[in-house]
Amino acid sequence: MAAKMYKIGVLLILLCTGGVFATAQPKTPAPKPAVDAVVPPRERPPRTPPAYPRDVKQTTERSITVDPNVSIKMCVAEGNLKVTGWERNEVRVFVRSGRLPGFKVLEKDASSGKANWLMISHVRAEGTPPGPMSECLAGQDIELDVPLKAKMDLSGRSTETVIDSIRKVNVKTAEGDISIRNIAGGINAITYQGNLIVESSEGSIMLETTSGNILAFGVNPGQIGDLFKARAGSGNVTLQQVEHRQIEASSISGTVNFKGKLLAGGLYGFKTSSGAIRLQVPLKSSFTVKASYGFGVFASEIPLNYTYKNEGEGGKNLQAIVGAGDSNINLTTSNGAISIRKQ
Amino acid sequence: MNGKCIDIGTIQAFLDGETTQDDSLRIGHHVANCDNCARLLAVAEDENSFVFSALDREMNALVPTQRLWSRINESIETEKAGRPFWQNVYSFFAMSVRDRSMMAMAGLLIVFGLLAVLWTVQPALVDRTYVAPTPEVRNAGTTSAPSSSEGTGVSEFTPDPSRIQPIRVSNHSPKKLEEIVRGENQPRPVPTVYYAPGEESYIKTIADLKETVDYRKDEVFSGSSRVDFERDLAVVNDSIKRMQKIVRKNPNNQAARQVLYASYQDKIDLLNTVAQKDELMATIR
Repeated sequence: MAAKMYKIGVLLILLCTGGVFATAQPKTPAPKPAVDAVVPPRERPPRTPPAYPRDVKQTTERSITVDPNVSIKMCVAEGNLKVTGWERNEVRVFVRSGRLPGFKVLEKDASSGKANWLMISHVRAEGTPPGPMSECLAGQDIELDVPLKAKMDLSGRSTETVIDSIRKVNVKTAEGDISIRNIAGGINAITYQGNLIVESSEGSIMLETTSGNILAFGVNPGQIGDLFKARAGSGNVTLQQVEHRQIEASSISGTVNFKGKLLAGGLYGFKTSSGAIRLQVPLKSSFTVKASYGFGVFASEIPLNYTYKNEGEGGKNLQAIVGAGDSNINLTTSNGAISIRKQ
Repeated sequence: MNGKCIDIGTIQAFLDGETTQDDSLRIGHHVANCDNCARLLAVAEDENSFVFSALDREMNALVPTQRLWSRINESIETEKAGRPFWQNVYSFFAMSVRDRSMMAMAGLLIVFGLLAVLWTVQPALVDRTYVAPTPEVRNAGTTSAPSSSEGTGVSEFTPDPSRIQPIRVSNHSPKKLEEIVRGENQPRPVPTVYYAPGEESYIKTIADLKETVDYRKDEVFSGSSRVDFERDLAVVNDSIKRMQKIVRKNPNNQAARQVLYASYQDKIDLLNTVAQKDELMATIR
């Protein structure tokens, strides 16, 4: 009897052990430890600090005598900036409700001894530790009067910029509209969020905006070979009376408009991805047009003499001549409409 | 002879020691005084001697049989000592099977154990998950951005818990699923992709830029400009995708190639704006 009970006991232990092992298998895969599941965050640089301390507000005006061909460098953190050329050989800075401006002469003209390379920056009060944007001006309004032949090299964070009547402009802002006129020696203007307007200017011109429109009218080349280039992301590009012989204009989803005469020997390139390309030229223009318009359409009010025209799916292209074919127009769009209308 | 002589049966019993003590004394006294009975007893002893001598070989033969039996038992004990555990367990179960009550108890426990195992394993065989209904993607802005693998504008989706329904991940058996998974894990032949001349350099440049842009664009763009950027990127991606398909079909399609290159350049320019804006913000700090 005792032997039988012993056997039963051993059997029970064996079966129970098997059952425990089977039950111990998890129903679902065990979740990984939290440490493994969480992807370590990528180290990011600190966020951009605020534009400028709001508590520092003062209205100031300063001036300095400079060389007529002075090159001026400055940065603006925040505010409405207006740069105007005048006939004096002097730079005047006026800041309303903002940081205290100061001049830093980087280089002087050897003959006249006047500054020909000047930096306009924020002057920190004594005892104030250097901080972010410490060299950038800021204020409600910032006005600069500079010599007519001055060159401006400007960077800004959030500024509405107006520049008028100087020799050359190089401006780049993160956001804010830029309006430029009466520039004699060329423009390079970039804003990543805002409109760009250029009028009555000459020289090599490069305009770029990520989200905003570009408008240029009454623009001429200062020298032979000066390039006009305009590029917009989602905005429209409108060119009127742009008389450069080499023009490149593009937009991704906006429309590219060109209205004006085509110059003999000119190279015109207009490009969009999904936006339209509209040319409005005189009826008696002389040009050769090459168009590749993928899935788009092409239409012309001006009679064209086609050299070739392919209408295959996704690979539409054509070449046509009007008149003697003196200028060359390249039109490229993936999904947009191309139209040539008479002016 | 004095008195009555003893018969041969009694004499044989006397020789075999089967008579009682009193009978043995009486027979002894009688044989001492009776010549006939003494002669009969001598004959009977001779016969016994002959029989025992004849059986002597057989009696001696029993000794090696006993030794052999002892050796066998020793071997069995040695073998038992060296036998593995599982053989002992097997022997134990083999012995237990002969007992009906033990069989009934063991059967009951086995059934219980099997039920427990099935209950435990069952949820793992059929995995269930919750999948929300497919949301409708709406693009913000005036320009409709086609779908793209690299992002399409802004989408709004609010899951409705009441519409969430459990579905089976697969109707295949576990074995079939295992075969499928095994098949998927095996290396597949890489399809040969035709690249137009110079296209690979565009793709490589875009890949390099995209790595930087993905890392920085959250910092560089604010809300509205980010929407514009993503929308433009989606438009360009769609153009690239569509033109790639055309060029793959007909590599000699010059018009399609030109549009494809233009779209690649647009994308590069667009991605470059992120780096340029980031650089600008760094200089203004």
